[in-house]
Amino acid sequence: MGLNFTLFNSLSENFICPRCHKKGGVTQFFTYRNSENACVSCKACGYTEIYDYNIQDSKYSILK
Amino acid sequence: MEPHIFFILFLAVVALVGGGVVLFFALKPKKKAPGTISGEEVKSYFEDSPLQEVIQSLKQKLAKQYQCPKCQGRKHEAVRFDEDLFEVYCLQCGLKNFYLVDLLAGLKRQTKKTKSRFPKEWLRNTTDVPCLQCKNREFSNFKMDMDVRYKFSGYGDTKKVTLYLNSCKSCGLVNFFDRERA
Repeated sequence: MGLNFTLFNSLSENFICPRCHKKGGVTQFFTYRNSENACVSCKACGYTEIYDYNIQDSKYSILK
Repeated sequence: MEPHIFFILFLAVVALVGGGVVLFFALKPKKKAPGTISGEEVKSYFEDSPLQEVIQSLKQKLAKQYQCPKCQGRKHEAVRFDEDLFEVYCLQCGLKNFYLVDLLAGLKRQTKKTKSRFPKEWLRNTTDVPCLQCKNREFSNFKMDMDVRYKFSGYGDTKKVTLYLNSCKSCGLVNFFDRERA
């Protein structure tokens, strides 16, 4: 499977932390229990959001 | 016909009919009194139903209260993650939220997970922020080990990571924190 790194960049750049309201995140891809996920962590406070990679990827493809 | 032979035949007929009647009532299934349940039914109820019923009622509770903190969408899918957590993901934006089942159900008991706490100071700047879903300010902090597989450009590496979580005491919504940045 080819990972969509443009999506990762987009997730990191557009991330605004809902807790501390600061901009910028770090994205990682990981799998557990056969589900593919992208997680974005806030650079400032560490709050992490986990997304289903396939839903985000299809959403990104539609937007593009 | 001799009277004693007639008597013996009569006794034989009576014995046959009596035995048939006794056999019929012995084999006939017994009717339960209304409102009573058999031992087997009780056993299957307590062994199988409660867990399914609890999961079903929690899913119904989630269906009422769930609103994605990111896109405000209400369409979601809830699956049981492990004995303590529910994994709920938004079908619109894919955001995954986790709920601590006990707190979602309104129970206050301590589980294996909530007992494994970590120092509150580890989460800088985060303890004063209210819950993203119900605005409650009380949280339960705990940590959890999980096997994850990271992938970067085709390179795969499985490792055990420790997640630092806090769960809203009112609705059970779990927040994840990256220890290196928190």
